[in-house]
Amino acid sequence: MEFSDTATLAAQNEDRKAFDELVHRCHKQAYNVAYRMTGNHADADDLTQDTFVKAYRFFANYNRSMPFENWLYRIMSNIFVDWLRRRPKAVIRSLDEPIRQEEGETTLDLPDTSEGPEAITLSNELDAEMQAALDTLPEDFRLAVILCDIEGLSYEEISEVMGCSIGTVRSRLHRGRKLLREKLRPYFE
Amino acid sequence: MRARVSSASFGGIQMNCQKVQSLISAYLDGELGGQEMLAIRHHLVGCRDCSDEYESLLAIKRTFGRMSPKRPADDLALRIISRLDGVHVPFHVRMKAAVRNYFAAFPRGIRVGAAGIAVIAGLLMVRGGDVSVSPRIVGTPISLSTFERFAESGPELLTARAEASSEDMTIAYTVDSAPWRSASSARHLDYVSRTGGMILAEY
Repeated sequence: MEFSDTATLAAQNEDRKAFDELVHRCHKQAYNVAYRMTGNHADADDLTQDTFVKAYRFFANYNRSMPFENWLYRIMSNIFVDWLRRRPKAVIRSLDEPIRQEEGETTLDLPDTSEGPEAITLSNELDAEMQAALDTLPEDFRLAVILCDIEGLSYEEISEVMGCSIGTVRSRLHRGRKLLREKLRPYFE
Repeated sequence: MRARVSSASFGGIQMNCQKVQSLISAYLDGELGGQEMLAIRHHLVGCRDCSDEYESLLAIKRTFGRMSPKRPADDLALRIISRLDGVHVPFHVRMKAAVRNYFAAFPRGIRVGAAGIAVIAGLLMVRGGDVSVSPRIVGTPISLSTFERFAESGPELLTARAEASSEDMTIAYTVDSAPWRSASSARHLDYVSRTGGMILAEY
């Protein structure tokens, strides 16, 4: 075995160990983002797996000064956009349709806000309705909203993940929120 | 009747409703600083329209922030890790990891210089043609790592074919140039490396 083979094998073993730990540490958070991007468990599962596999293949390219999760989200968004290009057009769901869940159709149940924002837990129904609204957003807007409002990333971090300027992040977020407000207007008046 | 502030100056910054509403998401995210932030705050106090806009977008942000995390299947991490076993890491990525790990212990200045030398040496090794690999005749089996070095050398590699077989599957794949730039060839070669199949190269 040549020196280069030995060295690369050792490096790969070292990276593999570190990467396995990252899988354990980050897969739940990554899955949540994947779910919010895709809107369903099956696709979120696939997207999370594909993201980690691709991240592992190019782990040597990962810049350690960036949080691993943010690098992962960048890969995830690229894979997701690639999926959308290759797949047939997604079915657009209307907010006027009844909410279909595994337990059957339900009606919207708004939370009681009288106890203040911190005390509110969103019902499953409202969660489904908000997910349906997210699903209708263009993917760039959707990802910006997910990363900012659900994951709590700063504009600078989002711009790194999405590979765009902070001004573009600002615009995508603003337009995304306004579209969400339109979709969810009956429930926020 | 709603009060409307069309335009006003605060701290030398001119603010009108249009400008405030274009910045309002950044304002509620705490992404504006200094005078700009103060000017918007001042404007919101006197403008009902903009204040309503602020409140409604804030409600959207807060509600999405309260969505419960979706939990994956219990075995997701294990399934990911088991998939990694079959993942082929490209040679240039492995080489990069090896160089990075080797020089990780050195101070930064030395690392940068040494990494440059390593890159040049690596390029010479690959571009100059790996002297340990001589051209093969059709059908001669070569190892996957050797094939990678061929493949990395670019278009001058004329043709390579990967073959592997299992109980119910046979792959024969031909690539004309730069095969590692093709996703499908990489996938097939991954399969070859996992199954212990052979790479056949020809000049």
